Amino acid sequence: MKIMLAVHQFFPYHYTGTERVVLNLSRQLQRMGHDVIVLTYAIDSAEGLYPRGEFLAGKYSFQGIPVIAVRHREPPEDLDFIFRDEGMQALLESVIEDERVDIIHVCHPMRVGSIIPAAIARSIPVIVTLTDFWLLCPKFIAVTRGGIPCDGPRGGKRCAEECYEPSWKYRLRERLQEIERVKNQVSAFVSPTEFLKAIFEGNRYRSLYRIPFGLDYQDVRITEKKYNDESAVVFGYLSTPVRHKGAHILVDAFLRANMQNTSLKLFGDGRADREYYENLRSASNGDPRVEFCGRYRHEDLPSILGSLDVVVIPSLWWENSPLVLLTALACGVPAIVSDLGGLTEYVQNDLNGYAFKAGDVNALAAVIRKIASSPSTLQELRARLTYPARIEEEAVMYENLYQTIWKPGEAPGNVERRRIP
Amino acid sequence: MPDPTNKHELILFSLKSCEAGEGTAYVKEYFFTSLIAEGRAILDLGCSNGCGTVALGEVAQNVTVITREKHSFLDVRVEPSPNVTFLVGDLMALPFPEKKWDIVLLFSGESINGPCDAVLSEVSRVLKEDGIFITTVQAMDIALGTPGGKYLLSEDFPSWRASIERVFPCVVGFSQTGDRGFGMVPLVPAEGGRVPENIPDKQGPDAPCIIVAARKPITLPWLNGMTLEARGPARSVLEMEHEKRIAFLESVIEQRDQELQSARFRNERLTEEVVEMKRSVLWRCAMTYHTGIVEPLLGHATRRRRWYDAGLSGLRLVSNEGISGLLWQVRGGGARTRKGFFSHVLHRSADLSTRSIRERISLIIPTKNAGYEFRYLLQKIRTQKGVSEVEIIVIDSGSSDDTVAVARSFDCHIIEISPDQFHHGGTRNAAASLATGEYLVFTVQDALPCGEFWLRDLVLPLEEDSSVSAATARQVPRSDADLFACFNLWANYQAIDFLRDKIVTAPPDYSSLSLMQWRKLAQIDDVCSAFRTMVFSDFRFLTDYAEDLDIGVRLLKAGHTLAFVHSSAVIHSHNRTAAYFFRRSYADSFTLTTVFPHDGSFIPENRSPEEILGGIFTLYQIFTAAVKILKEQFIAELSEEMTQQIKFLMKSGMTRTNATDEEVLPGDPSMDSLFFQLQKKVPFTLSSYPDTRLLKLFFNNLDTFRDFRKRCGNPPQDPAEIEAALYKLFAAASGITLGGYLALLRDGNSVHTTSLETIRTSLTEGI
Repeated sequence: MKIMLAVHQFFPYHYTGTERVVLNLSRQLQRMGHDVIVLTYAIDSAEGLYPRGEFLAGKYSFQGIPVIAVRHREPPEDLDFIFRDEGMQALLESVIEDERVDIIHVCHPMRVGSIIPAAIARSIPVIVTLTDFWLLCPKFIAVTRGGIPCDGPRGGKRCAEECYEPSWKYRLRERLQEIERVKNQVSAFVSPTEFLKAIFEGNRYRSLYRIPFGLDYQDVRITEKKYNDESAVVFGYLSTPVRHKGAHILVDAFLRANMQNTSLKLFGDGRADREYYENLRSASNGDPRVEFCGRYRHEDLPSILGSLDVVVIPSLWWENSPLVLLTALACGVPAIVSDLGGLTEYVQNDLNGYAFKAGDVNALAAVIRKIASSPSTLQELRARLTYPARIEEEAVMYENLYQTIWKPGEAPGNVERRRIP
Repeated sequence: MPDPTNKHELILFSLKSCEAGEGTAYVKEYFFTSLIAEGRAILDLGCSNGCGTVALGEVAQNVTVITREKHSFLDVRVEPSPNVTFLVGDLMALPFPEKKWDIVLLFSGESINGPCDAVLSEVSRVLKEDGIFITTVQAMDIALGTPGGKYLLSEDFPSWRASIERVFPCVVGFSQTGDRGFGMVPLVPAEGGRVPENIPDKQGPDAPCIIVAARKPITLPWLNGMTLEARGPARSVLEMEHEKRIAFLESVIEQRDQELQSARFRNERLTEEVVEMKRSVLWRCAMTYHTGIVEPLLGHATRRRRWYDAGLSGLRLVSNEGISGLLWQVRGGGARTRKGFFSHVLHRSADLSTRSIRERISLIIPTKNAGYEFRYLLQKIRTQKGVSEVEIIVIDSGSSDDTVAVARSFDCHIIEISPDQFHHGGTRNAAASLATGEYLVFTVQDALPCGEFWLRDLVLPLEEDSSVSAATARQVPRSDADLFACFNLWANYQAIDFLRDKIVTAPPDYSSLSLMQWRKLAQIDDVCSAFRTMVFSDFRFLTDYAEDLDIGVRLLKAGHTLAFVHSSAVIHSHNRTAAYFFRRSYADSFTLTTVFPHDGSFIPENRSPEEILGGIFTLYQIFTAAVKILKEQFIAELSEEMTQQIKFLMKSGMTRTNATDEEVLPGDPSMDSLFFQLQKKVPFTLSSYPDTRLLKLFFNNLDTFRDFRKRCGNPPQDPAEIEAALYKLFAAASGITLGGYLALLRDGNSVHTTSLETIRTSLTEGI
């Protein structure tokens, strides 16, 4: 099959969660004998792109994956808000035809959402992986201005009341209607967690499947550790320090727990929200146990995880399936997570990790104290960790799904009986 | 009598004398050369019997001859003068510095022992800037492989002249009788010029012509001051390669245009037929019946409509295959899909996600030092959904790591045996005898299940269809699989047509099925397979090699049905050396030809194992030479062109003489080591007969590999990985060839028993 994976941004300029998911999936599908091409929006630079009508387009290759990059000559201000752009749709229709694609797999519809109506217009089956809430929430995190998790737009009315200005009501409604018009023609929506699947089911999405994100276990290094009750415990935070990720909850809880045999390392690029980052540093009060380690490279993740005893994900939004959590679990590092979203599908409280009430500093501090008082419990937690899925598994499940929608007669379970070889 | 003051007449007399005595060829050519040889340094590449060379020595400054063997011409009547030297050497590696010679001669194609381009490149190197290269058509004839010639080239190899034109921009040919269609100059010029009367002529149209080539325009004074002009600006080799490439692509385009045209024509014809059909009375009646009666009365998805469709299918079956076909279908054979025949009428549809296995499953894993992923495997098995009870039986043959401890921690039933007790079939049988489940599942310690429903999906065909006795799933490559490992799996499943879920039974006339046909039907894979325990206990594994295929064949022959579950998969692949694939392919081929009737494509051709090995090794050397040539330019692309280049270079290199003093060309380190070890035990040498069967098989495999790359969109790849994959491809083809030959030799031939056994032992150890 020729498979086009569409994503809002891609390597080499962007290299976080969704981009890595797309890269890993592309490479594994190639190994399995499929022709894979990635379509992305070149948000950062027009370098290497050539005029194509009112747009720019170009091709490059990244780690053996061919990539088609498109963009507006001047990206509109509401690029991350709009779902469909007529001109972009026409461009993508011609791209689809040039490339003779069999299946389109949209891994994130932001900026490239026009690929969905383009595929429908060309009678190409399309599936959409839900990595966040963007199809429901233009801010994709489904958290209101007041910091409260949101379970749906109510036709755009809730967005206008709680996140945008009232004047945006019609735009928000129109956006949702545009999505509504095409969503029933999408062959399948895929969620990596039951939680996200349930949210979208509640917002009247059908043909929902669950396929967990798979890790490339080449990136996994298990560091054997032995704990006793005198062991020091290193807590780690590995994410972009922005408010909805809750790093301030962790720093506050760590200081409140006040356990001398502990230390806290925070990894992440502080430039995303400099003010927040500075506030975070101030909040640590210069405590020598709290270390701000800055950005990290993906290649260094296994060794970083090897230096940590516990990973903390104190998110204040409905985290779905963060790769950092999956990698930590695969490397044998237990996790403390907030009880929101899909996190508790990987971490069962008191069994192979801990879950605390999201945003509750005291609850997190209590967990930190519990672990620091009895580090040997980490040994038991490690023994009960569940390995996350592998990228090969994810690729097989997607391949079976592609087969179902591409050639229904040959779908898995549709058994052909034959007598002659 | 010749005029003794005229050196040229003397030379001609001398040459003719030789001719009279020796039947010397090239009299005209040497004489022609003698006209411009005065005071020049001449290099003669191959000199026939030496008469001409000696004659040239009379006028030239010095003449050096290069021959492939020590010259033994000594029947010449004239003693060679001191300025004539005879050397033994290789035309592809002339032992001279650049730009040494005024004239280079090549009259005898027998001297050519390598690709013509390589020889001409050497000629150009040693020739002075204003030097001349003189050669003949006879050299071309022999180079192109006319009967008796030793140098065989493929059909599209350019002519000798074209080869020369690639190297020398100024080329002119001389014909005895005028223009022979190549734009040549007659040796005897038109009137008005001074005619060198003593140039032999009047030989007729079959007389060979002489080709003169130079790097830049020069004047030939003895032919009316004729000037050798350049054909045009000198073209680089790259430009000429590009022209070849363009010509090839143009031919491909032309072919595609023709295919497109005929496809359009067929389409038009079919469209006309459809229009005619729809105008017919019969069609209109059928449509009226269908729209007026069937559709209103027998609505879609109703039961009566399903019975109606089933009845129609039955009538079609009777019409096509007769009553026996219908009966076979009813009894459980034939194509059956969710929408097919009886299943459509009677099938109780159920959502896949709610189906589960009620009976206990016994899962058997042979282990030895399973490594850190064994814990992952066991955890995946223990967290499988859609199954009620899973008994894991681990049969460990002497692990020294924590394999047994890990198995114990996952509540596995553990059997421990010593390493020398391990037997692929017997060990699994022993474990199966202790199983308590209704179903047996076999897997291996490094095969990781895909998904939470892998086990259920594998066993489901047995649970839901009582006729199915065994099922097998597929393997997918690991994320660290190298290019060849990915290709190997893909090619295997293409070859056995395991591309979708299917259920198979053997046809009644199975006795004539070939190995490949059996593999398509019966290739159970004990990396991931399931059996009904009661059926397995009657059949069991009987061999230590290919035990899974063997049991599949026996099950089918006994009337059982097998399921191939493509949608269920395990992650399993290994990155191996080329030598491993040589040994593994040999073992497969050698063993399987004993079990299945061979198709007669392997014929021993009265060769000994040593000769067969020598032929394979020779081709390995030719392949290695080709890879080295192409390495820089093409090998990262693996395009259609590159594969054609490999084939061309290999076919070009196919003629080699016994050259025991030739250096062995190093290729893949594992293969070099393997051949080195084999040669110590089974002495073989470079053979005169590189194995053509292997060549054909390798070319087929190369095309398949190219198709695989094309399917993946031919993404950019590390050149080292492509090179390694090519060596593994070659190694696999070599192993199959060797195994096939030796299997046939083994059958009743006692002369080669010792060699066969030595080879078998060397190659199968550890496999």
